[in-house]
Amino acid sequence: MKKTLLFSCLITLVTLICAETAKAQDFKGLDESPHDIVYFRTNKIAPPSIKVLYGRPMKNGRDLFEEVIPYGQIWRVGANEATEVVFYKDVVFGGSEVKAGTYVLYAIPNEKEWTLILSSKTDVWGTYEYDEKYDVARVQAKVSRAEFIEAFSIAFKEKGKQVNMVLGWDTARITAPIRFDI
Amino acid sequence: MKNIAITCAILCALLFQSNAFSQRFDQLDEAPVDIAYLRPNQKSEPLVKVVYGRPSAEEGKVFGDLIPYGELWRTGANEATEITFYKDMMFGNKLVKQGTYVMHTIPGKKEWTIILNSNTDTWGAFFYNPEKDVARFKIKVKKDVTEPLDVFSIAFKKDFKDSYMVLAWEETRVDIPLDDTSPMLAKI
Repeated sequence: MKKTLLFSCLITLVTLICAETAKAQDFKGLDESPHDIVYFRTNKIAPPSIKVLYGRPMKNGRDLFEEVIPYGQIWRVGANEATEVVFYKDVVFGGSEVKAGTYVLYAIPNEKEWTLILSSKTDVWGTYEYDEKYDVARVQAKVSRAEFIEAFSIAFKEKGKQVNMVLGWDTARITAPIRFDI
Repeated sequence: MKNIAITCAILCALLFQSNAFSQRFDQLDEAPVDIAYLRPNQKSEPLVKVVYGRPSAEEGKVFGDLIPYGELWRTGANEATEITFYKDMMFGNKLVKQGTYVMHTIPGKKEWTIILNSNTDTWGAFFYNPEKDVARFKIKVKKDVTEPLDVFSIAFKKDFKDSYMVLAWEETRVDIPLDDTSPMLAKI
């Protein structure tokens, strides 16, 4: 009798614990640095040529190049999950030929020029898994100045036969030319 | 008169210039994009990835009101929700090949229709073409009154050995079963 009672207690306990785990999917709140998607299409109804999926941190009054993305150190070019770029066809990215596919974009900020890196190791968080051996392209991109923007932004700007991918934050603008004529 | 003409010319030149030299940076979305991964453990390669917009609930109820029953929904906000399977999978008991798909849904009071479609990189559900469907099935709706959610959420959960992708908003829960080890998969 005592054994049966103990047994049923045990069963109840196990059931309770299991019920708890079963319920326990983790619903996240909204990210402080939300993700965004930007497409480049040759016209509004054309299939996309490039897609970028990236996190958008805010400046929040910080000194960017002192506190947030120091010169000379690798950056995920966004927030949270590393920024991913999809080329739907082969391109020349800042002078480097890149096959159609999905890549992670990293950057090493500097005062006058940034190093932009495309890596084939995708679906990673931040820069923790960055490994040079997966580099597909490593190019230099010029820095220019423009009006202040609070949220880190990526946009495309068509310029003749090429399109510029522009990274913008604070007053910094980093421009990487992309060509499709290969 | 001449002054006005000159002013106009200068204004036009300025407009043209700012057009020529600046790119348009988007504002932050009100319903931002988020990413959910299913990985067997923290360090393993992903099995599934979902990229989706996360609208927030206005006052009042969402399904049957803001999101009407019986109508096609992008299952998120802005760009259509995209789901990537990194290997062949059983999704809602349908066999789905490795690849990226758009996930539309038709919410209902008692059950939802889930649709995977191969027409990716689309906005909303406006470009939906049923000819591009790769899977279509129904899932019974559940309620969870203990954890109502203001923000539309997609998460993965494991219930013993069964995995689910859970669509959740307010008290509504839609659990879509996922299986990458089914013997069905070996037959293809």
